[in-house]
Amino acid sequence: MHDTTLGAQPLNVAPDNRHDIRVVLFDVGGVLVELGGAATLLGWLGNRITLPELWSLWLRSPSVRAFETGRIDAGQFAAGVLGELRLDVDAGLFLESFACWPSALYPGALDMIARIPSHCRRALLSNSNLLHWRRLLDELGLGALFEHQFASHLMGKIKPDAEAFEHVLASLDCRAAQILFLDDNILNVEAARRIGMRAHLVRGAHEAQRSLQQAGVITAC
Amino acid sequence: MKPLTLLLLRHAKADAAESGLADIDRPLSVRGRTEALDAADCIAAAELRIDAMLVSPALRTRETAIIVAAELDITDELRFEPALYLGTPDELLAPVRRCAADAQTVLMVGHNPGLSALAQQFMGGSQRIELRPAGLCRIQFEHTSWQQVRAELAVACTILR
Repeated sequence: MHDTTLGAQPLNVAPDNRHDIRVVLFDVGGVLVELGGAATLLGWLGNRITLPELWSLWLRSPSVRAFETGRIDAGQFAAGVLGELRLDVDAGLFLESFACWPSALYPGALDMIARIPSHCRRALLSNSNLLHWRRLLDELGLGALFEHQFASHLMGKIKPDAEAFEHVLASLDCRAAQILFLDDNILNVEAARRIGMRAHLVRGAHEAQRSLQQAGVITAC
Repeated sequence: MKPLTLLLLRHAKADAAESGLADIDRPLSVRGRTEALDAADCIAAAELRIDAMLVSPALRTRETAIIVAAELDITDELRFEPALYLGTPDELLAPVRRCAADAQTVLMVGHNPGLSALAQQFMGGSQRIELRPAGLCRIQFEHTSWQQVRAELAVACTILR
């Protein structure tokens, strides 16, 4: 029903942009970039919890929240997380491992981003930190691909809090309904929907591309 | 009175219970995410326009609902109803009876065994119903309101997937 294939159209033209999407706003980890590193952490924990349990703890961690809103430095973050998880690991070793969590772009991510037509602005909204952000922008090359980059540790605002989305909305100077937001965390998707953004739950570039096609932003290959 | 349609959608396949998470926190599996899209396509193919969505607060139902809502361009708030989390058929009907009069088609996203038991009631109880993950059942009513909805008033009950 949502086949947007238009055989006669050039790939990057999306005349079927039915919602007048002006901005595509991407989460980074889990959508554009694979996050590794959890295996190391689980190993340090003696595999006494599962990966989903670890992520659940991580997302609720006061130290993670403080670090990703720029309120504490890396040393305080390491001490806090190691304390919360009751981990007897050297803080330097932990930070060295943590810095490498953003491992690589998902296959197809660059091609998908390139296919977004020029009338749609590209933006990032990430719960990030000073150890990951430069790697994402510079080493993985996302900095050159996005006109707008919103990082939680620089804004002092974090998803899924409404103020993070309100900050983005005010900065982008468009209606919420003209923003298509793609995130792998349902709390963030629900929060974005509450302020009127079009928000899709996606994991990886393949699902993100499907959402862009569904919204008529890009056409199917 | 306009005819009313109640759609019962079981959540798509979730991660195994062995994930260590509380039952209410289990997310959809990779396969489940595809199943949710398939369910949305099924609703679209039946040319059903959803006016309200009632959703269990469990993560797997919320994820199913949000995927379906995005696919069907439903931008309205989803209504989270605690009674839909593992409720009995009677408990599942309570939030339906509170639906606005102008809502013609209501989609409920919930769980087994309650959802299948409810479908079975609407089918007259003689046939055993077991909705599969992302299974979808359509129940149609005529000459009634949501407030008065009950099994005997259903004029048709169809398993769509």
